[in-house]
Amino acid sequence: MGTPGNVIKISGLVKRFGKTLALDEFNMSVQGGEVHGFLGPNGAGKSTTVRILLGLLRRDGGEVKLLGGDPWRDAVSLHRRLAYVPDDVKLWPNLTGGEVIDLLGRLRGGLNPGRRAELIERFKLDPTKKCGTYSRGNRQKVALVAAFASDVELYLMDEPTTGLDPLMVLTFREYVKQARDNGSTVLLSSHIFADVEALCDRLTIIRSGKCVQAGTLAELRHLTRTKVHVESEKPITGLDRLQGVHALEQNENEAEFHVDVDAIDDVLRHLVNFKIKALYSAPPSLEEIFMGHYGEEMPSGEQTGASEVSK
Amino acid sequence: MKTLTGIGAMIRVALRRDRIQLPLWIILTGGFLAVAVPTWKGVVQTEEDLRAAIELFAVNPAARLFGIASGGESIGEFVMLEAFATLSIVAGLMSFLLVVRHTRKNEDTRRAELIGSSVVGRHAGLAAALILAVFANVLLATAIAIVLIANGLAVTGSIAMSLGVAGVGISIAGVAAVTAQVYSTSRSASGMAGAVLAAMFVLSGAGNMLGRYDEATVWVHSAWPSWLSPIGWGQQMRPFAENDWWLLGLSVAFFLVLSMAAFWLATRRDFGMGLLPEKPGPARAAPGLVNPFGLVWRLQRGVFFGWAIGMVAFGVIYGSISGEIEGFMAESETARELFEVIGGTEVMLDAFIVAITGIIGMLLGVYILQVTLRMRREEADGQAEALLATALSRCRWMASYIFNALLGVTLLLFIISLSAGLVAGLVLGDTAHWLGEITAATVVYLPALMVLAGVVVAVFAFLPQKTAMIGWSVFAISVICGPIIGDMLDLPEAVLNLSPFTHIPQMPAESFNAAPLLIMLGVALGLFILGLIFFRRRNLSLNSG
Repeated sequence: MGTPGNVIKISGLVKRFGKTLALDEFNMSVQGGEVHGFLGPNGAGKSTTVRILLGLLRRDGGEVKLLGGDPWRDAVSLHRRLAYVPDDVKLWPNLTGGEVIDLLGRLRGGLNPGRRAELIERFKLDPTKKCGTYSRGNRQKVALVAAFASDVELYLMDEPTTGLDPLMVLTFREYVKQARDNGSTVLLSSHIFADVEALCDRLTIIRSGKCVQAGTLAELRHLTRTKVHVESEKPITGLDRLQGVHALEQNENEAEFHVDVDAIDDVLRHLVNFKIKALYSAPPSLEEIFMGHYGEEMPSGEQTGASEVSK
Repeated sequence: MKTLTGIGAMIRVALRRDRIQLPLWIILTGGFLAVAVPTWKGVVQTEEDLRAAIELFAVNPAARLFGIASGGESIGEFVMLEAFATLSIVAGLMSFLLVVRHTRKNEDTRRAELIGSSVVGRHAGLAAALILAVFANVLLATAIAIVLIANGLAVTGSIAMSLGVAGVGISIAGVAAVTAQVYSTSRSASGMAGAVLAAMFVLSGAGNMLGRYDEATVWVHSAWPSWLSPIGWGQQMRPFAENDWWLLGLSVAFFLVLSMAAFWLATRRDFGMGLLPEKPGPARAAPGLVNPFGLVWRLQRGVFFGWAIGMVAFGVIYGSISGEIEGFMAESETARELFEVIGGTEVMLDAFIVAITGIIGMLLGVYILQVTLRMRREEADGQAEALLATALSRCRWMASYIFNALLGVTLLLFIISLSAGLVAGLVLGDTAHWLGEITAATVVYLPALMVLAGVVVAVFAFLPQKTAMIGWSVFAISVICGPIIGDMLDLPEAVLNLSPFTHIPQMPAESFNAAPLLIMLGVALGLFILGLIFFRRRNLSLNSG
């Protein structure tokens, strides 16, 4: 079922909402059979891009090709070949989860009953409950089951793991991998770096409506840096001379910096000399990556969303 | 009373959240009365008119379903007859929606969790909701009393009547406090409280229907079911006649007992849960659900069945009154004049049919709006996004709403024709004739209702955010400039012509005229096509993202 070449090809895409420029000459290409991460802080234009791909919003400029067709003009025929999981799914409060799964599956062109049953089991979803009583995570599961139970060429997923507990996130990742193994393509929009890191072959980073970076994970190695905060008894020196240390901020007995994964060992050996009192390390938040790498402040509206990454 | 800590703050928050909604309920109710009471006073100007009007409703058991005069023959008693049940239902709706909004709804949305973790007692939320409900009902009663007294009705009677309405309101507030503990969603809690309100209405109406009319004293002696319902208690206070204040005590006691029960139940359940778990539904969709038309029907069938029951009841009453209408008109000069203006004929029965079908025809515009405006709600909330991302075209999605609205409203027009026609046939004889006559007079309203649907569809395509506002405004203008209110207000021809309802042939007083109907049909189709084409061409307008 794998589609050779580009499943999604976006070039110079422009979208305005009134005076706001939501997408500003945005470019992205997704190849057949890959899991493509679409990363960026909230409000960067991820959902807008996905909705343009679905023909729900109209582009103001640029070129968009989806599965070889025009997403606006050929919406209905293209939708038969794809499944969409919206961000924060809203469902009908008086229909049950099972009814909604069947409804969405049927309108998409049918679903596989065996897979439906298996997915409900694996995601631990009670399909007899009314959607009005579901938590956000359970509503998300309804959309995921409906999507994965359809055999389609392309999955468009907008923040699909928000609200899922960690165990369910693992199940979700398993099904994404399975979809790729079956030759399907997945576009996974997220502001949660861990999801993208675990699943994606290639990724595109969007910020303020522009593509700021695209490539394989290895090419975007700086995204996998570790953020380190260290306190010591003796004053720390010499960090600025080490390979792989970035965005260093320090005073006498305290330092904070980002370090490349392959430099961690060297840096730790160096730090031991100063009698470490406390050491914290974590992956950097998207916000910090952007700030460290591009050396400018994020617009305030985007920070709230981006800070979720650091959880 | 540690469980009530923080109640002051809770009341302030609730008041602030309701700062628009609550005044609107009260102002609209007062405004309705301020328009209606002078109209009723216009209908019954003389003692003979009054007696005739009260008797018309009193002798007919079916008409007693909607209310009874207090007894005696004052204008106040006529207002009781016309308005008490309606006002009670308004107070009831306001009260249970308010209580559920500030209790179960808070738990649904997890707002209460946030509040519950701060310094707030376990019962503070429920107590605040109940206090607010009492406060709202007192305000509502004050507004009603002011309008009645300003219209020259007896002061004591006006106060008794308005407190009677408030009594129904607080009774239902107590019921909602309990259902909010029993059910685990605000939908179910409101639904059950609404069902209890409906039962109260039916009980009081049934008591009046089963009662006995004493012609000498112009007094309806209600049967026992009336005494089981707070609406019945309000009616049995007999405002403007006897003013039996002690019956208010029953409502207050009912409210207090149910409130205490709710506080007790609240200690027997977990946060966010109800005493009853939500009933499970089907795990698979029925074949009828998985297409767009079936989905809209499913989402909307509850509303349809509610209307259908109302149409049957209204038809029975309207059919059964038809037998007495000639006699009533003979006695009441003013009523005759009014019906001549509205009906445009001196044949009273025809004028009556014109007036009633006009009311029904226009009222069903509400149903059209209920169905078509759902399109906008689903677009703004995001359900439409999930549907339109499947292989469902925008045209089919929109068409399923149009078909549901038109099919539903057509069925409702036939349901009321059938029920009114059959009962009128029983009363007047010659069923086939009356059935045909009434059906024709009712169904001719369909093209005007289609135009209304067309307006909503077109506005939705061009100005989605304004759909509800423009839709309701167009409906209100069409009704005000329409055949009944427009005629009564003596509006100029050019203004009357703005309303599609004006162009409906007023059968049976006028003869059938296909031209205006065909033109309206054309306009409606044009608007539908415009809507279908331009909705296809616009961005979805979503609230989020």
